[in-house]
Amino acid sequence: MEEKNLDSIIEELWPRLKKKHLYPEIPLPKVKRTRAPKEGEAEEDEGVGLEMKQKQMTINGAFVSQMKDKMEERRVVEALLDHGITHYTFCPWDFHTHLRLYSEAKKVVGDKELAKRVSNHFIDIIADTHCVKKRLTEIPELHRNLKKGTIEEVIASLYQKIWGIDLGIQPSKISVKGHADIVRRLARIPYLDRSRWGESIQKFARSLKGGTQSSRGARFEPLFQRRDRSGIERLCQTDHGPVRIQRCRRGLF
Amino acid sequence: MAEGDKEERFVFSVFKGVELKMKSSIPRKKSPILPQDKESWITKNPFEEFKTLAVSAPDLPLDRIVQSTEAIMDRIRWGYEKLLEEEAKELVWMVQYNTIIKAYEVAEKYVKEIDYTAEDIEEFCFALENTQRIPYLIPGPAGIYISALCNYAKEEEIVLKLSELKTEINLIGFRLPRGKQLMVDGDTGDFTGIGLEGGELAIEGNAKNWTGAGMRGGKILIKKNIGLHTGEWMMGGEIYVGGRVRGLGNIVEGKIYERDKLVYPGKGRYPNLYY
Repeated sequence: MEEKNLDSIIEELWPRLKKKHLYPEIPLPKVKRTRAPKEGEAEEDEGVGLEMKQKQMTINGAFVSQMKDKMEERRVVEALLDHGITHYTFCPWDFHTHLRLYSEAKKVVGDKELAKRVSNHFIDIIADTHCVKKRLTEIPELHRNLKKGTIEEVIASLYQKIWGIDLGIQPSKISVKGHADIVRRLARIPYLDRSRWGESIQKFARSLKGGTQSSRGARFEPLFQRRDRSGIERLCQTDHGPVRIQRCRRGLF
Repeated sequence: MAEGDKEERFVFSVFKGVELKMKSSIPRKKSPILPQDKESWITKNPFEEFKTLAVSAPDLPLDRIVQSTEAIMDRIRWGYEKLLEEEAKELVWMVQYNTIIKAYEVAEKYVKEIDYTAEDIEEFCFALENTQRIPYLIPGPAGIYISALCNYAKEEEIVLKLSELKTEINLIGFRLPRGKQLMVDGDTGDFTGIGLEGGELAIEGNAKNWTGAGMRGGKILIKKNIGLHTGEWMMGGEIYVGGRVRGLGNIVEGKIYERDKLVYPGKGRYPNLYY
């Protein structure tokens, strides 16, 4: 019943969305059928809002219904599709660009998995920022209502700074956790300048890497102690927020 | 008259003109794709559908941030180029007491005029490797200029994440004043922290020869190894090395620790011997 409702929402929204994004050649998005989880079984993919394979976007019904209390379904779907379409129309645009960005990130972080995460976050930020600048979109509202892990909080704080829109992240919260420095660095990156994406993703990865120490003195003490994990790893490993549209590009192209 | 009508007339007259010209050169053919109602075909705007499309392109704070960052970087680059212009007269840049002092004074002059942050300094370090932006990287003046930028930065704590930098910057931390903390993530070149004036310099990597030469006070922390002539003519302060000290210089006063063990003053290590 719910999927049927989502289908009708998508069918109704799709012509307007296609027009808004200047008619990309993308098929009508589908809805992922959710089965009721068995007792004691965690609902898988609950946090994935949108999946993309080839050119087919698939909206996760579970995600939308989870957001239902905070935001109208239609607006959630619109935000997700705006985000997804922008991946096709602006960043990464094609698989080659995606791989190029990944390889640039890997030069900095050194680890395949981390490089994947870094490049995904970078691509998401570009897509969202492009969409917020060029289109009327519900993406900021979606970000305001998403549950956030550590990295999402940093990114939401970055969005507040670079979009000038309140997303409910209090500055004190960020500065207490020592992420203000990271956000300041991230905000200097020219995300919308395609010609500089290569150097920008390196700067992005560098800013996330190793950077949660901030208090005076703390910087000098750990120098002689072996650090087990770099900052980005710490940021990403605590990154278990259950609701993330950032994961939506799994299987892109 | 409505603006739309004006446009239509203009388009129509342009097409009319084209038609007249063609008449004289090529014999008129009946085009099968031309609709019968020719006027309506000419005046139809193929993008009519997009008229109702609301495109918002507001200026985001990001645009302003990026723009001001670029402007600051231009000023920093300009200062560096001016320094090079003056130093290039020497043809060969030798690291001597006088040349360093002179170059630093020139760098100070340009740096004082710029309003920048620690992030700008880091960005400048990476820009030095980008030959499209800065054509000349001369390690001596570059290190002096970066040191001047650090010394005159508003922040007391400066973190430079330079581990991906291919070039090891020489002379970094030159004359770092009391109350300043400079942390470099990555390796540094020769003459690291020379003439330190009470500041704290931490290198999360290796440093090369002549580290801490002529320093008067403050602390230098090197996480990994350090080269020869460490602390040459050092007048005070402390150098902590997490790895190995390859060789000590002629030290006047001050302390040097190797893996938490005091090696100068002490009996175990002698100046200008390689270990």
